[in-house]
Amino acid sequence: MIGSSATTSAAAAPEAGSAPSRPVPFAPELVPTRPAQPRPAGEILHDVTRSICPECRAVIDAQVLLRDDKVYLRKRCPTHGWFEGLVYADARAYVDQARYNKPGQAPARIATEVVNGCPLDCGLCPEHRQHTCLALIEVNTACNLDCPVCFANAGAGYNLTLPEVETMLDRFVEFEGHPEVVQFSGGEPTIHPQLLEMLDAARERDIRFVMVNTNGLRIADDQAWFAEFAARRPLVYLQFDGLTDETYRTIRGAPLLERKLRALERLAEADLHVVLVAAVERGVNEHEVGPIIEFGLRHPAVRGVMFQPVTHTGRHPDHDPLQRMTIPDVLRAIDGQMDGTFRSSDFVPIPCCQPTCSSVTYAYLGNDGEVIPLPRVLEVDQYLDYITNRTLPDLQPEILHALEGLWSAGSIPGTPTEERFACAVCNVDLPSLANIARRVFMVQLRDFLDPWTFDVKRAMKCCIGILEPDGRMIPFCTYNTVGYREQTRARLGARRRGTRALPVVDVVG
Amino acid sequence: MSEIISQPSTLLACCSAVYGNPLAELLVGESLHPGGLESTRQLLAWSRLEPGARLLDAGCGLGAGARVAAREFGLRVDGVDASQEVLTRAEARDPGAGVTWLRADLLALPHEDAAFDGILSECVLSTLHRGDALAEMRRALRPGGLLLVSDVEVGGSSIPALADLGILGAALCITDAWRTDELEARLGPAGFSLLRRWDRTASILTLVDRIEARVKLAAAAARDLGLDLATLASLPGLRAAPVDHAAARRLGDEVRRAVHRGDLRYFAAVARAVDFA
Repeated sequence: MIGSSATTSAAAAPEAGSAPSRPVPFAPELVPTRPAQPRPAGEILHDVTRSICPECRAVIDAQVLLRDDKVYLRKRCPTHGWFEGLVYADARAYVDQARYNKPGQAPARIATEVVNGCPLDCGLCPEHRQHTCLALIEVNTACNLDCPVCFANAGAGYNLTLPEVETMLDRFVEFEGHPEVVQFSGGEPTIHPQLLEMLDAARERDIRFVMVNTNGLRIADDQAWFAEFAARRPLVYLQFDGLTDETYRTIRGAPLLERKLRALERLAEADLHVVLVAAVERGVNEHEVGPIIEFGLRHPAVRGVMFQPVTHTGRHPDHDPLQRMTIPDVLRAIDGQMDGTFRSSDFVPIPCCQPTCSSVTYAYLGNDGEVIPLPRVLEVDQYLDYITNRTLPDLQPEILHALEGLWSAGSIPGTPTEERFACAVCNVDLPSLANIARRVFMVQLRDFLDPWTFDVKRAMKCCIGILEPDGRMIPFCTYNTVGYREQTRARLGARRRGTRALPVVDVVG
Repeated sequence: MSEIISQPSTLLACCSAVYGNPLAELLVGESLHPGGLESTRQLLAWSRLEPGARLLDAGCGLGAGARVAAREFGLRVDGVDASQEVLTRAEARDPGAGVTWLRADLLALPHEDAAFDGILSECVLSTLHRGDALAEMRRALRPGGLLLVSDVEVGGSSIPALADLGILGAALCITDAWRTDELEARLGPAGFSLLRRWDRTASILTLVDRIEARVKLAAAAARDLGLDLATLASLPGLRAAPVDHAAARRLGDEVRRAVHRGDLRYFAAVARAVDFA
């Protein structure tokens, strides 16, 4: 309305340069008024950012709104209209967490130029604000499950070749200098015929920790293969959504508990480190959050638990974007189900990415089952406060360094975590705690972006990257929501067996 | 503890011994009082002392608050404490902070009259004869200067269990805490006018949690790793140092109950030096 009225009055104005013989009376057409659409009472416009249209993926402006102590992202696509999604179910925490925003650190090299602006130039482009703590390689699209929920939309598609994966690993080394962690994912990576060679290829490049993100079925079922796998000492990210078949039936489409437990038994026998990864869905398994942690604390193979609210990208049942699960909902579940073993105040945001993306805590696990979360022992939140504390000399640099290592998206259970934990608690004058090997337990919460909540401010500082066969590296949530995943799948799926690898994008920088 | 409470000077010596002990820092943290440095920052920020203004940290302990005042607020800070050992450690933490460290009796400061624009004193007055200490602080403050305090306050008829809190009680400044309305009653006659007072009781609960977690960690690690904690447990002048975590838990529960009953509070306040009432 405003636009059309303005055009009308402009048309009524005399043409520039033509001198009218008589003065034209000033009679603008009045813009009509109408009742304003009231916004919900108490709503605060907190921030403005860029997002995408969930229908057509067009990049559009978006508002970050605070309402009823929750955070929403609201946006309008010129073609598809208004969209609104829940971002974070605790507005105060969301605003307060700005102080944990650690200054970004540039990667050693990048691969693309700024042409269309974020998030359309990924590779990384020169505007990306953070190097990559954790890189993922999706080795295939096939899976031995057919889950109703799958952000990767696993199914027919492609298998990467070993030379392709080697090129990607070389690229990761080039981007990062001395990367510490790489994760093989899929699809289901354990059914790729050359996964073992790929793990070797990562080791040969001196990447210290190699993770495999798996549903665990092949670990449970294929003893001969597992012996080969275990010999390579990978860290296992085991999808583990609960302790009931009911949960697995709903999320994974099959009763899987018994095979999950068998896989864990095998992993414990082989002395491999395991992080349980639980997809949490409202009304399905949020009541299992506490029991999963308790189970992990008691299981000899388990060194940590990762909770990921179900991501509504790829393949997912219809959902209400205003009712999705977010990090504060998982924290409330912990408060309600754990009787203080862990509580929400034990969790501190991860500062290397946008702090609202992920929160984590670590605890000392005593022989008698004591669980002592590190943030109760040490003022972790004070150390990781980058806005007020930068000059504070009381925060000894070695402890800050140790905590930054722990509070990083690339932090994994194992020796470095234990060393860092020991260093941090040495602050309390108990140097012998340096011997706490194998007693540190991690609980992490990570909320991925979906097409409703996608926010370039978070994407620009993402430190989890997906390596591409063409040599680009694309921030994880951007890859999943903006259309990169579909592009890659189409290109790789279309190539014929025996075709040479795709041309590799040059590195800039 | 009861004999000690009746003799403030003994208590001060005892407190200094506690705060000089690494175990106290282990249990309470470097700032050695509830609220930690956040409480210190809020007091300093609210007071709006100009950079370059002179501040006395009376009872500075390991100097965390004095360093914040110097480094973050640009104040010229004198850190005074009764224990030379504590001061030596305070200076070693950050020799470049620009704080002047000085051993002195807080009831007989070596400074001239009206030497300071502000005096910061956190969890300290409860260990001193408060009338005398306030008079001495008033003398050292210029007219219009600001007194920034935080401390423990107890109400209710009595808190019997709290009298026997050992190091926990001393660390929390409970053993000789302010009584309800005592601050307001004492400030006027001492030449101060109360500008603002905050309730910081929640910080007591945070501190109790921290102490419990540290004791629990020390006890568990000692058992798991075969360490001897006896050296950490030997504190001069105190009995029942709660290094076993069951004891710490019991004491912590007492404190929590007292907080929930409303019998135990923590306050922060800013007062201005005015003409004597």
